[in-house]
Amino acid sequence: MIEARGLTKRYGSKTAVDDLTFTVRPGVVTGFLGPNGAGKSTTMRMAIGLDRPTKGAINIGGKAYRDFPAPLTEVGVLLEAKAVHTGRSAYKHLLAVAQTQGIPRRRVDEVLALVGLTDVAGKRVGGFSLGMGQRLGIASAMLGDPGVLILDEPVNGLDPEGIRWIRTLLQALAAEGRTIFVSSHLMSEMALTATHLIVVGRGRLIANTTVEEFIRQASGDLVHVRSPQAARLSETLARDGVTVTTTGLDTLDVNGLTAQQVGEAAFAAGIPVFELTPRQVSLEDAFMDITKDAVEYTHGQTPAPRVPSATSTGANA
Amino acid sequence: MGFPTAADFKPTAKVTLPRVLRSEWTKLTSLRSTVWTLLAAIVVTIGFGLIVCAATVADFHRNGNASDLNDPVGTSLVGGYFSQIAIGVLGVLLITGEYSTGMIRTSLGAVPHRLPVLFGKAIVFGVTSYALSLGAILVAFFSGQAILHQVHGGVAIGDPSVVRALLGGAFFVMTIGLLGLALGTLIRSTGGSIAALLGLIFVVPIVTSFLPGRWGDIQKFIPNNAGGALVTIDDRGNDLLSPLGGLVVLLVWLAVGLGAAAFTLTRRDA
Repeated sequence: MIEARGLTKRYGSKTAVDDLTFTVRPGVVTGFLGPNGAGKSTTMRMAIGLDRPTKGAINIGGKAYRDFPAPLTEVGVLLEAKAVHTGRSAYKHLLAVAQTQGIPRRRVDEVLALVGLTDVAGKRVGGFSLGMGQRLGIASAMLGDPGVLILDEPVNGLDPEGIRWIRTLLQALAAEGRTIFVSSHLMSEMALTATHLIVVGRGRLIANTTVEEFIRQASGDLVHVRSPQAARLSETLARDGVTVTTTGLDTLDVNGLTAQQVGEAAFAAGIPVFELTPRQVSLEDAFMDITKDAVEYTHGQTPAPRVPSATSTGANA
Repeated sequence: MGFPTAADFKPTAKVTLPRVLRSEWTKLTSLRSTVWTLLAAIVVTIGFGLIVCAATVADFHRNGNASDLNDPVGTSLVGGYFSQIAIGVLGVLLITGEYSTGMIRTSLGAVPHRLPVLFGKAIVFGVTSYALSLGAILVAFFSGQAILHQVHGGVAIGDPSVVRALLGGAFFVMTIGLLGLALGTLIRSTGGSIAALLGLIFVVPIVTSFLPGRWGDIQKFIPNNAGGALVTIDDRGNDLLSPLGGLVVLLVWLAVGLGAAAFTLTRRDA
């Protein structure tokens, strides 16, 4: 379990992390989301004692990281970018790390096998591809067989096979009762991997909820209907608190009624309905919507999207 | 999918200084650049010692005398002027290499108390650089003195103060290496730390030599001259401390340098 209480980090006049309070529970994969500069990496660094908080604290299993006699056997960490010396071989790197805690050599071989780097264990890390470097980082995080895993952008640079491998690994580790705390920008992947979400923006907590709830709140009650008598259906449904948008020749987007209510209203009026789908926004849309005020570093204007086609259905995740 | 879980090592897993020493030894010996630099320092020490001795003999044969014959031990130690640079830079890289590659986050993440990492590096590097320097100096000494004996200019290892000078020469090179480590920890960038190291070795002696009057006494306490005091056999007419004074001054430099490094390492964000 990871607990942050009033966690704050200021660099001079800039507040990178602002009074964060949250709990990351064991047994589930918790996603840590936020725009660039939101304070995710800083929070993770403070969790393992690399940076000292200005105020507040972040504890693991009730203790400060430095109070663990063998921290790598309790908390495994993968931070953004390779934290490895490029001139060293993968094997020697892991060995040097393992030796600090008294972890045996055979464990180094085990984690190399786990991530599939056994064949290149003797090669200089400087020659590794981005994906291989990530695998090495994951091997390093798993060295001590920790109960808590903190991973910053673990799928960065991995191919689809690697991404799926990570997802399966993290979910299996969570199922074993470990605490898994993952930050990522890959929304589609996060939606598949995580069950719980902690969203931050400009250093502040924006949301602390399940993935389902997060998407549901952003989607609202949006129902997509296709009917040959769309115009008549639109009139039937119109009432206080309900917005009906005509999205095509025979399709409507209804906001404010559940799919059940729309179906029953159509049935009562004798209007045939060919498609009736509760429409979920993607995690990406939900995230963009909720963090749009908190984006620190925006990109330039993107060209306006074309008029949406009538075939948008279901979640994009 | 079977995941290796090895709970059997967990009960005995603990970060201890001996374990950190093992880890730092692995780090030291697993980089080709480190190994090559140490070899270079050895070669330079032996090489210069032999060259100077051979040149002295040639000088003697040409002129019937040679000034270097007044300080036969010194001829064997002259390589130290150059190996100190290699060893000093190596001390810097030992820590700045970690900062520049991001490895420092791994190292301090594994050892959150941090000081064992610094002292682990200091001990492993100190012992290694001392042992290798001493070995090279002894080789330079014996082979050099053999050359000088041709003109009856050599000394024996049993002669007064010779052992002290040889041990002291190795100690001085080690000190520069450890000061490099201290500077690297304080400054954290490779370029800046090496600049500071070279400033300490080359610029400080020049600047202090210009100090007027009693201020000039400061010269005795800079590392080069303290080291010089430690290795001097014939102290007539020189302005240096006693050998013991030189040793104490070098130890103070080490204490202050590594002490400041320890302080900043534990206080600052990684």
